[in-house]
Amino acid sequence: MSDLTYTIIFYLFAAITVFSAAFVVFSRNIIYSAFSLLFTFFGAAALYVFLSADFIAVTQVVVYVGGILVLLLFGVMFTNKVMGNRLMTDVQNLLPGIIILVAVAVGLIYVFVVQADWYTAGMLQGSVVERIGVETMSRYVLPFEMASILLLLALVGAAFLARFDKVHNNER
Amino acid sequence: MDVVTHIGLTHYLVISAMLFAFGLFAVVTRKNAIVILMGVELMLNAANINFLAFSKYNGGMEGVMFSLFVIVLAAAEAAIALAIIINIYKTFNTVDVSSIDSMKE
Amino acid sequence: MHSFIQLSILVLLLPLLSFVLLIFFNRRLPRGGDFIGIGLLGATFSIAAYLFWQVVVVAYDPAFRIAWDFTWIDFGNVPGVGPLEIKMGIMIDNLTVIMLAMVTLISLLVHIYSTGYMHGETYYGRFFAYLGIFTFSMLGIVLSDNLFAIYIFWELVGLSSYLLIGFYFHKDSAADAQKKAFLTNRVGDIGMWLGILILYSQFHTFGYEEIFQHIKAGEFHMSQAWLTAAGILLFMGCVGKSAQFPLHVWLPDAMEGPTPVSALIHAATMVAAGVYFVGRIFPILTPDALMVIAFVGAFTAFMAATIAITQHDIKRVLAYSTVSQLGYMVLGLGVGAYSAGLFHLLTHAFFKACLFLGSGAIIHAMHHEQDMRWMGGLWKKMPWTFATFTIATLALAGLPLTSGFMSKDAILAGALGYAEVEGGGLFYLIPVLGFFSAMLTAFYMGRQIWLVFFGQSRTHLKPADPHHHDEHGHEGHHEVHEVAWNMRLPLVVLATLSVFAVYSPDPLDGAKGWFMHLVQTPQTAVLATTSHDAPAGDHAILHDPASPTVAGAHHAGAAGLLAEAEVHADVHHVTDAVHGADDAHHGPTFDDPRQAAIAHAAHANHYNAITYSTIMVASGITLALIFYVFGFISPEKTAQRIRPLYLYSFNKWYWDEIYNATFIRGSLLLARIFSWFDSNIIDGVVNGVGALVRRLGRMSGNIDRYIVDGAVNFTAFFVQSSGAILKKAQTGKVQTYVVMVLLAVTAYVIYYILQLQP
Repeated sequence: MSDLTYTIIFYLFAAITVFSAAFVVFSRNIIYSAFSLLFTFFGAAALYVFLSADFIAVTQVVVYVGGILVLLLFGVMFTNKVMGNRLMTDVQNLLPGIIILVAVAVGLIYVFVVQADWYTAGMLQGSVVERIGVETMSRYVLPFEMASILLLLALVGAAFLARFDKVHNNER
Repeated sequence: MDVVTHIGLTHYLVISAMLFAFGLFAVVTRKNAIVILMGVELMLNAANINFLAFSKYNGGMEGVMFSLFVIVLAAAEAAIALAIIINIYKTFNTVDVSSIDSMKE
Repeated sequence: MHSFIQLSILVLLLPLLSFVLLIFFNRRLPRGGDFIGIGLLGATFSIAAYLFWQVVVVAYDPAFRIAWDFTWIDFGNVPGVGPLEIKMGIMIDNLTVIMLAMVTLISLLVHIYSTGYMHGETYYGRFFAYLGIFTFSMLGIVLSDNLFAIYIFWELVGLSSYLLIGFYFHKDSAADAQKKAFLTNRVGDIGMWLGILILYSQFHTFGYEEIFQHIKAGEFHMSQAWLTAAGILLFMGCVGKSAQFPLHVWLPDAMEGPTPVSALIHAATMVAAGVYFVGRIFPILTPDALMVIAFVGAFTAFMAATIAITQHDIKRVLAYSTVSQLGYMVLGLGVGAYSAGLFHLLTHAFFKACLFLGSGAIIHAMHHEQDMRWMGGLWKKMPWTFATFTIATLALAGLPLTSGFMSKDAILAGALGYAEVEGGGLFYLIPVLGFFSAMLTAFYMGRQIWLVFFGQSRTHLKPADPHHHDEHGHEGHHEVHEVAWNMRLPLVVLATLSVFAVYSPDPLDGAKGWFMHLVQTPQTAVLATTSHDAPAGDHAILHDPASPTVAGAHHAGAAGLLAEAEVHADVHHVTDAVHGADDAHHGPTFDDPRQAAIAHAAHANHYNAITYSTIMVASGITLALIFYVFGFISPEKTAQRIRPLYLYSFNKWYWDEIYNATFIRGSLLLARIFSWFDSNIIDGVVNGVGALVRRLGRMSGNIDRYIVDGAVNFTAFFVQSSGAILKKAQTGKVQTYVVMVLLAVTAYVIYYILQLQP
């Protein structure tokens, strides 16, 4: 893979990610936003591959696209009367939002560009799947277990929060 | 043109900065709670890109592992957030966060 | 503790026991519990009689004296006063024992008498209870050895007198009389208390003996006038209690009480307490104080006698007679005839009690008729009463062979002697008033005897009183009977005690009897050097030719103290020469020359007094015979002819009216002034203060309302309005907050970036 090809492909995915993200944000139709988010996640996953994190890219696709995005869509459909409704989101704080957008974006890019001389010890090379396995079972075993417990709690908590509360409904 | 053609750390950082700014914009301007959640996901992705980029150009595994946990947390967060949103909808019959201000007074 | 002391405590407490038992249980006991009263009084009298036997008959010692005391309250060292402790104690000497026997005997007789007189009364049992507490209080006065204790008992007899005068409290007159007696007594008691305080302030003790010792030792640090004042103030207690002028007005009104009470309290014992008290404090009395006492006594004796002449009520005549006789006693003490005054106290107690009980018997028999004008002819129907009443009358009038004769003549002799020693013309007023009163006494008693016992019954003459409810239903024709034995017995006993033989073998001279021997004039405690600051005129008069014995003595020395000492010696010599050796036992030798001179002058005038007084009494009786028995002069016409004088006497010298117009009206006026002052000035001040406070309150309220509340409200308003402004920032919209935070963060980021540049 030549450098040019590499560069073109990078810019392609970068463009997909950024423009789809922009569409997520600027589109007022929630469904459009959700589907646009799909492309953002894919683009991000592709960028992860460029960053030698193939396992993370796969996880990104599985978790975000297969899980979170579906959840979001379910959320959209649970909370909106789909038929006869354009599923629009209202906009507020537009001016402050734009100011913040511009300021943060310009500020961060400016910083990143100006502070270009990052300290680099060496490039990450090749697949990281094996190393992730080793690290998970050795150095990060405690965060790993904590994450599992967190997921369990999130599962139970989400189930509890979202269950159909008959008594609560009747009271209302 | 070397800056443009030679893909380096800065390119990733710029992308993540833009994603982050978009996510922030969504959180600030959108009324719909689900869109806000999407903005949050964008910002998390921006963070992930940063983690992995720094990890790649630093040669360490810390960024990779952190991005893995971020994804896990994002999953949990999305689940809980959606549960809350559904509860809010059941209570107020809307997910418009600007109209949910019953604690104001 | 001496057994006599123990017995005397028993004597003191048995009547109190009687009171306590009867006041609580009289309604539950048969006969109202009178047997308890009589029984306990009988026991009391037995003990007193035993003491009398032991002391008077067996010991027969003029110097007999037993004392015992204990600390009652110890206040410790009181700031500004010094060590303060109040002692209670008992002192027994001859006078005490004689008084004990007299009081308990009369009290016992009155108890017995009351079973007949008070029979059927509603509060029969209560009456005996009151008699019990009176007897207790009276015995307390007699037994006390200090001024504080005597003051306590003094007030207690006042209380029991109050209760007994108002025994018929449903009668307005009785209720009024009881209040009058109590209030009048208070006036005297205030003086007495002030006198006690003067003495206490000097000596820090209440005991008689200690006070005498202190005065003898010259420890009275204030001027002599204060001692005189103390004596006169203490005498004021006597003035109140013994009904001396000017506080005599209560005693006649006190006759509203039941007659036995009049006999016991207002004739024999309580009123004599004043005289007894003066006798107790006799040593501290200065010559000036004694002079005041003598004049008060003489004036009282005379005034009361003139009033007694015209009264119609049988008890009022006796009441004024009592005042008059008390005047005699006080006169006796005042002139220094100490033994004579107290002797008269004793004899008077018996014959006056007899007279009162006799009048009670008459009243009882006449069905509560007290007006002598409607009596008459009773001697046949009531021979016992007549006999005893007559004996007592003779004693009161002072006819020879009676006890009253001896004691009254002793007093008059003392008065003559005093006048001689003092020598002034004005001092002769004292014996002159005394002798004149003796004549008046004989006159009014003769009148009374005649009106009550002789002539025809005048019951039917009484004008019909529509308001009078006669419970017997046949007014004017009821049978008058001699009273029963329980009322006769006391009369007989008391009449017996009115005969000279009980007191002295010589009917003409009480000084030969046991009383004068046992109760002798105490040495005055007032130092001769300080006491004898009499003006020179006195000395000159002392040697007046009118008193040959003293005048003769005068040649021996120069004027002044030395001269008197020699006078004393000379007089003693002359007296002995006149009266012979049998007088040697009589008359202690006095340290004070003045006292000695008076005593011997009195002794020298003994037969003069007898002569004069017999003449006066005879003329009094003759007058009574002329007016009432033979009818040479009609009393009514005489009264018409000297109508102003008659009315003056009949209306009791208008003392009540004078007091009404001055003291009572004055008090009322003062009260009204105070009331006006109170309601206008004080209330005005109070109301003014109130109004001021109210105004201040309103002002403060306004300050509160407008300034404080305003500040508070303004604060609240400020907070509220600023809150209302700030509230707008709190939209409740999460995103607005996020915007705020992010704007701040952005600002910081921009600052950070700009800072990075250099």
